[in-house]
Amino acid sequence: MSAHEILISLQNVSLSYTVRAGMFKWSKYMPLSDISFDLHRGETVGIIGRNGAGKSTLLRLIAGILEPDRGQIINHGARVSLLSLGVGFVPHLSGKQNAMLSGMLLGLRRQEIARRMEAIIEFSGLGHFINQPLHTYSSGMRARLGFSVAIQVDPDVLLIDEVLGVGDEEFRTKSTSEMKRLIKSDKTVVLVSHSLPTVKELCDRAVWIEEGSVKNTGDIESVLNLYTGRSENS
Amino acid sequence: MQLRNSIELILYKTYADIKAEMARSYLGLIWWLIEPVLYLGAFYILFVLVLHRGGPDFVPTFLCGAVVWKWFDSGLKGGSHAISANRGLLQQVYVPKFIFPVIAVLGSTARFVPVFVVFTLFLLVYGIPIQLTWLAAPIVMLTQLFLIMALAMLVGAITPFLPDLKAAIDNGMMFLFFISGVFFNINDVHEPLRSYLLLNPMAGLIDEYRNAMLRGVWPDTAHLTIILLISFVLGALALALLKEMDHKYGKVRF
Repeated sequence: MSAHEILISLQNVSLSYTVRAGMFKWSKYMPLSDISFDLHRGETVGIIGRNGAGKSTLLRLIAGILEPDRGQIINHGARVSLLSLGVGFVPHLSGKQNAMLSGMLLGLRRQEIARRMEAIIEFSGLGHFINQPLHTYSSGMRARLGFSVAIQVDPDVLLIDEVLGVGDEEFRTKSTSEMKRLIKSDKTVVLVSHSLPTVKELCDRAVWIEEGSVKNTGDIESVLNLYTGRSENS
Repeated sequence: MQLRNSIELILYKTYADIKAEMARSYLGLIWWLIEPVLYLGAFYILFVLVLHRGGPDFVPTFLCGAVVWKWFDSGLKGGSHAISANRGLLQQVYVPKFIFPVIAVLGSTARFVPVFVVFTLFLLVYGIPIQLTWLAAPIVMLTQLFLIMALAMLVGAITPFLPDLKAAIDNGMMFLFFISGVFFNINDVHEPLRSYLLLNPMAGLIDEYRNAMLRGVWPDTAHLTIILLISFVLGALALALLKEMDHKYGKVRF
């Protein structure tokens, strides 16, 4: 198992939506076109680009939620998961039941979640609130629970869309450091972030997406230099 | 996601949905009892009091049809809404899509079973004797379950791409309700109309329920087998369609 082993390979990937423009009129909208890059085992890749460049859509493609219309994504047997907080949360169920439901939607077995329930409750710091219905939670408490469940999923490739830390100051520090610990471990991570210092700190490589295409890719320093240089000029 | 994960998820989500529904409304599942009774009131006034029709056993005959119809109606409608109701989820995680209509149908089944038990108790109170043919009721139910499951998956697979189907189903169910023999005995209808009406599997099933529960007649196994076979074919078609379109649902703008 070499460090350069390719886990996922994107080859000329394009995605298009058909948008209905009238009764019998359709137009095409292409959020991503001709994207190619490889993900190697153990690396952390940052995806940068402006709002609407197609970064989140790209993550959904890698996660297998969407399928490309052209090109292909070759997955060499890696389990991929998009970090999502509060997937499938139902307001009228207790925190515990929601943790169970959310964990199952993220692909865990029921027993696995039951086994990790103590750790989830412990990390969330919700205490006895875990047995209260979710609609009594503040948004910060929801985020705590969602985060604590989401980090239990242990995929080969973790896709992160701007979620590093959540909740109040205390939990934000805790969750951010947990996230960074995960990213810095030998896990393969794809990180979408607008915070360039974060990308610089955590990523080995960057892919710069602009208007749905790869504008530049390479080691983190050179791509960020080009990206910031361009932002200053424009 | 592997099949056993999906099965665990289906069961837990079904349980969670019912629990959430009970927590959400004061009467919760009682509405499943109230609705057939309200319908009974309306049709009793119309048929027995206004039109002087309906025969001596109008009340049990009507309730038998109304109770099983409600199951069919809610299962099918739930199935047709199932995928679009979970559109947020489809953007966050990959889940095989067949689980959504299946959860909807299992949910309505779990609500139907206690209602049918209450209906059976009502028959005893009403003075209809316990009959050996009651034992056949679960077989008719199983047939109906397969029918609902197949149809719900089929419409569930198509509605995201054809939103008008949802409105068509909501209206079509009203039409079917009137011709399925909920408030009349299909055997009183003259031929050849009766045969045409029986092409609708729900009309046939309602009649088989009445055979087993009210008339002491064993259901027609050939008839049930045909409905089962149709359900299997439609169900297989629906599963194939859901699998084929699996990754397209994430792109639908609901």
